[in-house]
Amino acid sequence: MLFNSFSYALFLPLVFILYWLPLMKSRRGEWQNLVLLVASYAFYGAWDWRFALLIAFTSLSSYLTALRIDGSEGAARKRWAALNIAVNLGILAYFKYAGFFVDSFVALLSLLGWKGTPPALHIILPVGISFYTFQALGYTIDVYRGRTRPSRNPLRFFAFVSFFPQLVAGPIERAERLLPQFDTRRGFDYGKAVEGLCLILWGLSLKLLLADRVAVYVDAAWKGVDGLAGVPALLAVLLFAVQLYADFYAYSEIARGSAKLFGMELMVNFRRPYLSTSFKEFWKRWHISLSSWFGDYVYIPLGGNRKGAARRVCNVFIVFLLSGLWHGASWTFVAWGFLCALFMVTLDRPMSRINGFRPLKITLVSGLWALSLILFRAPDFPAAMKMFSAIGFDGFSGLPAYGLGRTELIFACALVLLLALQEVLWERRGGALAAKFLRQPPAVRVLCAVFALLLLVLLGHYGIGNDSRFLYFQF
Amino acid sequence: MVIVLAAGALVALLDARRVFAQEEGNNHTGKRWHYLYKYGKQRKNAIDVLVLGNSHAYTGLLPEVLSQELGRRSFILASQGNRITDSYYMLEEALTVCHPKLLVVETYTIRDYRQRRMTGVDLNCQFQSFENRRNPWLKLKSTPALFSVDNAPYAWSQTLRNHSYLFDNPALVSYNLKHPGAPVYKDKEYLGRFIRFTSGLEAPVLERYRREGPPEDGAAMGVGRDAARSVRKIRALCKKKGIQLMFLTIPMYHEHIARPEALHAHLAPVVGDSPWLDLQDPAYNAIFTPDCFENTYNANQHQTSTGAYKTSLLLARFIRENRL
Repeated sequence: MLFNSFSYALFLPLVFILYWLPLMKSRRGEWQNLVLLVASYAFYGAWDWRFALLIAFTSLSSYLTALRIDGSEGAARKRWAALNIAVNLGILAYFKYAGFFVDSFVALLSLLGWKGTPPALHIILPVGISFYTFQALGYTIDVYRGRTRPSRNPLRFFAFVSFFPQLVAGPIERAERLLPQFDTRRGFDYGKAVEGLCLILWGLSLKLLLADRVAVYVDAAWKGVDGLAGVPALLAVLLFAVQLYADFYAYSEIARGSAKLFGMELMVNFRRPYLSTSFKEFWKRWHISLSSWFGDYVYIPLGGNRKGAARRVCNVFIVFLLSGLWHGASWTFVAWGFLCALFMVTLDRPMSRINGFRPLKITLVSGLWALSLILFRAPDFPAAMKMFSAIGFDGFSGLPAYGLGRTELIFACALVLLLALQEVLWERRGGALAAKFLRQPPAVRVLCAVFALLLLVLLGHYGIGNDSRFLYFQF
Repeated sequence: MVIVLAAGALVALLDARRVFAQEEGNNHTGKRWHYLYKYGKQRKNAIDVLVLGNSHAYTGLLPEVLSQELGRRSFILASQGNRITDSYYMLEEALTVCHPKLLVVETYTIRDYRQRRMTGVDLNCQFQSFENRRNPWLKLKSTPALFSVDNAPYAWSQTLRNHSYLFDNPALVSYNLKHPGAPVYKDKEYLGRFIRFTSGLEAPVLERYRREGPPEDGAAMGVGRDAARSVRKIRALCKKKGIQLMFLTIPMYHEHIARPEALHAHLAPVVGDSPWLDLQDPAYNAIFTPDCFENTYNANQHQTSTGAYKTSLLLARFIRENRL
């Protein structure tokens, strides 16, 4: 079930009504947790019912081992934590990386002269497996470290792991933040619900007006990468950076908005990353839940920046290579991670020594990020190389619209500029702007919302049989 | 809630004014419903023989010839790419305005498909057929059977379905804005035919048959669960309303389809003991001349006007001989 589908538009209000049924008040919110649990499994099972079994297993193993960790001391405690990490990573490795490992191994063997056929693996990649596995892993590690008390109520814990708004593409929540929210009965907050609806509308606008529209151009350009040259290639690269941001940001905002409808708070996952003046800052603003997860559970345990410059560089590379692999089981993603690490360790220091030139720094960071995304988007290295070599500044006059009409391409570019303007304004006066809007009379706010919804209906890029998934679902 | 209702009302208004309507020039399905309702208003038994089907039916039969041969008014209620599930709901609506004595079901609609999982062209055809039906209550009732949750809103709203015209076809949007309201049909009499092909098979295609063999295989043209269920429902409805049911297989060129006997075997259990004129049977060799068939090697081959004429005569004779 996609956030931008009509089935979700039916599903969400239905769950909302059941969740807030006044007759079903339970002191600790068990009814609410039960509704969320059933809804989450239905949501996930709508893709494939077998996926629901997998998440149930992940939840059960994390639930039981956390209790064991809590009840044991010393080496036993460590063993239970290691066991849980092995189980969770094992599941992830099997479903996501088995094919990659086998193919890489076969490629290595063929380099050594072996001639044979690799075994055909028919493993379905469960949607969002990387997200909930990391969330469950974070929980057991936190319990092991004593940062979180283990949940003794299976209903609450299972609802926490499978909470449907953030189940398939994050944000990857920390147990200490989200789990306590399942412990008490949530009271209905009208303001929060309105805020949630606004976030959903904003997310849908980003997805349907912008992300899916530029996706048409990007996909068509990549399909014809062999004949691509000059400005069209450059535009495809830049628009993919916009698409990825708008798409994933949209998902995160709809997730936050949906959660707010149930009185829950999810973390902010994006904070205007394209206004960063360094790569370090960029990663504090982009996919914040994943960056901070890698920071807390990989970078800092490896020593972070406490053990000298060489070790810091090494740790940065480890984190980014793992992050690349987390995004996809392919060497192009690993190379993308390597490039991100390279940018961070080589460019951040020199840039920080130069005062001022903020627009230049922003352009440099965002531009290099967009270039790195060629590896993120490319199906393989040869295609990536073709795209790198195709980029240029000629051929602007005959700019093909690649699947979009010329008017629609201009419209898409205008939307990109609008988004950029909105980001700058929000960066400078975010809170003030929101407060100003909320101070308007209800009639004005309703009119604005109706107008936005109508704009979405008329200008949104959606259609029959549209299976426009969010890009991060594949991870 | 207020916001959603207000936006919904605006979309409904745009739908009512047909701002995003498709080009009406070739909408013969809408024309069929228009005349069916018109005849129904004149008198309930204005149509004696009703033919249900898809493009095979409206290109493969001449209702005027059939009417003349039988002395009974025949009408083709068909829509492009139609499947038997949709045919059932079309029949249900048709029976609210007319009461035929004989129902002829063309068997090309009886295939292996999953109605609610249709995509692409099939789904588009389904939308067109659904849009042209006129009884809102029956349309509402049939929606869950015809469409998935995600496709149902598109079935009901041209605005949701065709809003991309704003970029793709602004000229049509502007035309629709200047010409609101339903299209006007000026024919005095219309019985549902739509002749698309006037010349028959030509040498290159005939040569290709010889070189590559038939593009269709009767053995692969199975009947799915959804289709079988819909035929059962049609049979039950006919029984309830006292309508004689028969089946008709409009043929493709004999070199176009391999193993026609396998197709017959697939359909036989579904057809049951109802009368069935299977013109794909090689015994009807008089019809298998190149001038009777559309000049195509594509899987879905239609008849020409000559073929339709011959088929209509054969059908009329079959109805007469079997006293249907």
